Amino acid sequence: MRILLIEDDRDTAAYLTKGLREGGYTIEHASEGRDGLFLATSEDFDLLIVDRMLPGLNGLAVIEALRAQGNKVPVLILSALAQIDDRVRGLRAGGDDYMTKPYAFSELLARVEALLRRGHSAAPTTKLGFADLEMDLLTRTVTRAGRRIDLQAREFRLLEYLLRHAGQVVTRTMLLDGVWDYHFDPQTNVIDVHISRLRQKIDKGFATPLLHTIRGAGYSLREDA
Amino acid sequence: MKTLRLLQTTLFRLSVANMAAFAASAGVLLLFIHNATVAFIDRETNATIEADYRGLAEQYARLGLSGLARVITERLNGDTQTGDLYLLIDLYHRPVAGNLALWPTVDSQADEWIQFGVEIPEASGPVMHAARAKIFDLADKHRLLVGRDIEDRVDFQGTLTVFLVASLAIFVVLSGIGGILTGRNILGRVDAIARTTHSIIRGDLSQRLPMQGIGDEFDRVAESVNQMLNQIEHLSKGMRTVIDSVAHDLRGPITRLRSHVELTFSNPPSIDSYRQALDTALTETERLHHTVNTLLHIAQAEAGTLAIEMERVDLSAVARDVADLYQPLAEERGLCLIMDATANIHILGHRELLSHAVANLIDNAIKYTPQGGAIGLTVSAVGPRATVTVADTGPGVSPEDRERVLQRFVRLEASRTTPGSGLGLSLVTAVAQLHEAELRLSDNTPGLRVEVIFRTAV
Repeated sequence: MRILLIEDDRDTAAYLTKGLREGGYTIEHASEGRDGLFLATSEDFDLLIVDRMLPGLNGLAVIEALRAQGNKVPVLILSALAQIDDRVRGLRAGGDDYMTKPYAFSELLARVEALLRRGHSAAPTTKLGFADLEMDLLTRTVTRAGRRIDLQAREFRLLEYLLRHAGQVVTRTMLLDGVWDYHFDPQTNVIDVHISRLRQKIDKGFATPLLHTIRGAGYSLREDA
Repeated sequence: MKTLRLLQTTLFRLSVANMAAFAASAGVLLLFIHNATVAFIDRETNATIEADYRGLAEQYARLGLSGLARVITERLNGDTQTGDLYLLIDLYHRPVAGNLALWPTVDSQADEWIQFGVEIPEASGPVMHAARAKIFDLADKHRLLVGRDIEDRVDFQGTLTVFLVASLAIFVVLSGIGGILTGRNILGRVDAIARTTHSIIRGDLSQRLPMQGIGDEFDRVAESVNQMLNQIEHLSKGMRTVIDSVAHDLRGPITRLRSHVELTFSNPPSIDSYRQALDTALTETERLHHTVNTLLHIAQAEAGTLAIEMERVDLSAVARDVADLYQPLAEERGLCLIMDATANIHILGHRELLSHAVANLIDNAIKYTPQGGAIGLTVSAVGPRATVTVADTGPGVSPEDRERVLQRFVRLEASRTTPGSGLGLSLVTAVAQLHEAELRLSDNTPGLRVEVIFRTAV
């Protein structure tokens, strides 16, 4: 998987490059908007990580230029601008996900994974599954090992999100974002309670737990412990 | 310097131009009055002289030359003060009758008006007076001059001229003074504005432009500038508070983080202690991260509508979604979260910030309400007002503390043991302000009732 990182801050770039390489990705780095746009148009990448504020050509302009050329590569925007509506502007410019600094590396890694996965399953699905857990999006039913599990609407969406990112780490922020469409951190960790309720329903009474808590990062649907 | 600046003012230049135009038209008017008056007096004199002559001509026709001479002499004897001038001369220019010693030297034809000087004997000696006359030819080459002493008229004309020129001069001087006075007045007000602006530039944002309270154009400019200054002051105060708050709330965790790392280094190295230190560090940075984000959220809400796009938001849907998020947490804490929202109450607002505010209210309610209690989340609309109410059965907030808890980082003594940054309600305050909503804290007997009253959107 090739990722193009367009980031002008040396330290951040070095740190992200190192972290992502350890995560098994191939990284190309451009420290300027124009170079980045050139690389992005001349070579094939699976994902772009673009800083919003760049010398030369700003991040949003790079993305807009790419989208104008019909380039559909997934883009993750990094920004130090925490303006509430900046996120909307970033996504409107053609970004696929948006993170504000400071961020946890685990969060960034999780989102990178999610974006890469999304690029591969473009076809609309009607069924999702993981291990012996199955979800039918049309009849809105969930079964595990053939046994029917009753879920409330919100639990269904939570599980759907987890299933779409099965095997990856999903952070609390990603869940708040993807399931509730909230971009703030509630004071109390409300997501934990939702997860433990869901866990009660899908894992209780089965030999292998599927829904795991990853310390300091988030949650993951996994078969191994 | 001051004078030079005065001369440079637009108003002064305008008034000078105005004055010039006025003076020119007044001059034309005065000239006209002058000429009309003089012409009128001339006509009067001429008419008198001609009437006089007609009378004499009648006498002449009836009585002949000698009779005419007698009539003239009688007339002159009758009254010498009228200013009438007569002279009848014969063929050899010898005076026959009349009160003029000499025939005027002015070249003269019959039936023509002439103007000449005449010596009038007065107490102090002879004086030259201006005179006007008409000459008539009679039989036997005799000639008759009928005229008037017009010295009075000339005097009057002089007086009139002096008077008219003087009034023009007075007018020019007065309007000049007026121009200077208004110019100085305007200059004074502009100077006052400039002084205030300079002290604002130097950083004293509390200064306001002076207003006369008469609602003129200066007052109107001052008023809008002052409104702008209020907003700027409000924003900069907000920024300052944010900076203070950031410093206040970040210093704690950073100090803890630092001392923890230092402590770990000073202890004998061991994987376990390192792991534990890193674990603590991670927790502290997470807390820092959260605080920074919340502060930024508050700051943006407080910064006002500039950066934030308002849209039609269904307040009931916002409340329902937040209730949905918190329902499991409430149940886990043994609390009953009751949601009661009338459908479709729309306001103009920002969904994200509204959700955050409602979430914080519910979060607080859950935090402070003891097990077995109830939390009510209600959205209702009466007329143009939409109200979100969060009521709990917790310990409540005493009336004297209600104002205080809305400020940043204020946590009542009783709540020191519960986790929280003390930023929850200040975000609610900021969001309420942004939406021009009223925030009301009251007693839920027992517990706290928080009402946020919005204006409904049409």
